[in-house]
Amino acid sequence: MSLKSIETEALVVGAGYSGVLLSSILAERGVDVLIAKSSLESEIEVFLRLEVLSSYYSEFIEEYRELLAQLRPRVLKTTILKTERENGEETERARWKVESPHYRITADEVFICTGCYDKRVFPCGVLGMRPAGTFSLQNALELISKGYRIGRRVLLFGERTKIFEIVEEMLKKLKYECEFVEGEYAEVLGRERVEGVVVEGEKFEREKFECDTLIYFCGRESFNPFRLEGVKAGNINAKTYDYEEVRRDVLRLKF
Amino acid sequence: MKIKNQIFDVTIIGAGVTGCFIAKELSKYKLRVLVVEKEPTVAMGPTKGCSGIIHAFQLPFGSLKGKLCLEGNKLMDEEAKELGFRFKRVGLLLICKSFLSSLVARIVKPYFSRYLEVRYLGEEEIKELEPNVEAKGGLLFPSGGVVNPVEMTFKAKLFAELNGVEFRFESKVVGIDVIDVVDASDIGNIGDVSEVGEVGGVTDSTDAMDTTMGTVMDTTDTRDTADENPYFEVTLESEEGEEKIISRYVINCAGLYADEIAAMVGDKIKIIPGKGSHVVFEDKDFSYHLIAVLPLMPERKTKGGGSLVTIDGNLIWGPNLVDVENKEDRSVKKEEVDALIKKHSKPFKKLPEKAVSVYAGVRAIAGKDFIINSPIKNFINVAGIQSPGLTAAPAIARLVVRILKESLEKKGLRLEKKEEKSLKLISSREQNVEPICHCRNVSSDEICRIISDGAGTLDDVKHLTGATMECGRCLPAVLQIMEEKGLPLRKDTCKSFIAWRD
Repeated sequence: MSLKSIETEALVVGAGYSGVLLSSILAERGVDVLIAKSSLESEIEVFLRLEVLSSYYSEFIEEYRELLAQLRPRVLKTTILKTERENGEETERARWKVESPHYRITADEVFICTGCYDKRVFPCGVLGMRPAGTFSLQNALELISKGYRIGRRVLLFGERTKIFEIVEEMLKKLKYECEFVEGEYAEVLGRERVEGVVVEGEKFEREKFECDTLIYFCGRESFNPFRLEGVKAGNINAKTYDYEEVRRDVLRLKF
Repeated sequence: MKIKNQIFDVTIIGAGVTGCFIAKELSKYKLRVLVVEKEPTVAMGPTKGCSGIIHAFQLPFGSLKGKLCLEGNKLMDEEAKELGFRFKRVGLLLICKSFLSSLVARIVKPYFSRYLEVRYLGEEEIKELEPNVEAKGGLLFPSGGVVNPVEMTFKAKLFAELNGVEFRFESKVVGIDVIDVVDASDIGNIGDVSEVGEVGGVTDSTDAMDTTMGTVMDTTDTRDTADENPYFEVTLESEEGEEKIISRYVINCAGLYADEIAAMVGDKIKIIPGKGSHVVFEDKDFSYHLIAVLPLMPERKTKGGGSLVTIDGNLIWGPNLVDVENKEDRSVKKEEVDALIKKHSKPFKKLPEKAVSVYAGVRAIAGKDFIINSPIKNFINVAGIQSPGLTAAPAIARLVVRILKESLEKKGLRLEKKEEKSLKLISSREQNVEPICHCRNVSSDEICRIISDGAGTLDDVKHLTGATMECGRCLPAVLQIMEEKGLPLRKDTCKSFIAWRD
């Protein structure tokens, strides 16, 4: 299969909130910009399918939809695999050579807006057995947004943050039994399905919680598995569910 | 009862790496072979929880496991090529932290040289190979390697299946009875050649044309009593209820439950579960070999684990050995993680950055050595296959074929090779495909392909493609593909769903 060559002034990798906001700012300034949208759904796309979250994030969702609609012709549906300066030069004047499965893109500037992902089990202190029913917050939200049920009795474990409060409300509306516990370590019990979680933390030594599902959250990390180089903007830096912060990170960029 | 389709020459109990490699080897012969597995897919027991190490050697060299380890290690290149699984000889490096220890290394080296390739490396040479390791010297065993144990087992299963072996999953053996087949007319009934003969069948070495006796019988045997030439009636329990099959040979590869299976024919084995926990790091290019500190006194029960690399280049520290009461106890405790990190930090100047995951497997330990024997005629135990069972699997399979051959020859029968089909190997990753798992660059096409190859659970998909293994973000997308392909959204365990629709 032959690869299509494209030239652009700016390439924005990632079509989540950060990528779309940044692209629209660039487009407004008359920059010739392209956005690369991979097959992974952006967080905003997940939120807009979830009742409580979509109203909480409504401002950002509206903005995202509007901007994306305007930018539609500039969206390339492809995953960027590699970005490097032409001729391997380090100087800022060198252009970028960008590879994806279907395109070879030359760009004057590359922005990385690939967002972030929730920290995994071990960094969150989740140990013990690994039966069905243990989810990161992000995966739980995406699955529920796609119409799945992920359990009946849910224990939310980790850091007390705003997002957990909203999720707790959402889960209750969706008729999940739901309980939140703050702790350092969670030991999962059960062979086939989660049968309970023993939590250790500052407030108590060891306490067992009955549940069939565990959702854990203890912060986020930059999502950039292809280790793409370029100017990083948005949630890849902010690493949060607080979209005010994400917006601030995009707006801090000076052109 | 549809007895015609229920007669087998060989029934293998357990679809771990041992069972699947025996099935693969037997599939090259004219035999009707059945593999019975209680779990929904292959490699669900000790196989999946192991470290993926192809050991260079196992002490003592004179033990059965010592011999089978060396033989299995040698066979691994050939197996990897035939079955198309990834295998890298990364080399085992036993390092010496002190001058005394380097002296010991130089003293023991000639002993190892009698059995396998080994080189003594000085301080500088080690620095060159492993810049992050601090050592006074060490022994390098270049034949040590790594595989993905699930991939290796799955490929053996695919080969066996392609060559006519039947697999029944989610079927648990609940009883084995020795039955008396003394009357030739009985046999005429059970073994209708026109049906089973196509698949194969042991034929009389003196008269290959005499097929009227069926798959499992021959003329000379017909007057044997059960004592002399037992047949087995194996009772299987599945969701559909109980069913019985008849088998001339039974091979017990039931891993942690080999004792229960052996007890069904009156044999006593004790399987003791020994948990091994691992810590997985995100770090790549942290080190390049399997690295362990050369012990001055060998540890009594295990090789002591090490700083290992996976076939995908990740760093793993472990395993330890913890006695557990429950054979299913794969829970990793915080103290174990701390101890593993403390122990395996020793060889390194700079420590790895990010531990991302932990996992444990449970070894099936039956004393010091493997148990490969025949407690009663036509019943073969392949039990207590703890480390280095993964390495030894191809050699164990060949040993079992030899045992079977000899047993048949005593009866005047010959095991005949058949024309085998080769697996269609996908040579390289497809180009120009959009990934859904970005960490391991896995496309949805790849996931679909592994599902049509027979992947049955999320764990299969995960271990065979690598998708969801690192950051985990693509899990919902992977589950969606599984659902679209009609797979139940399950992990390795039988009944529980990960997610469902109301």
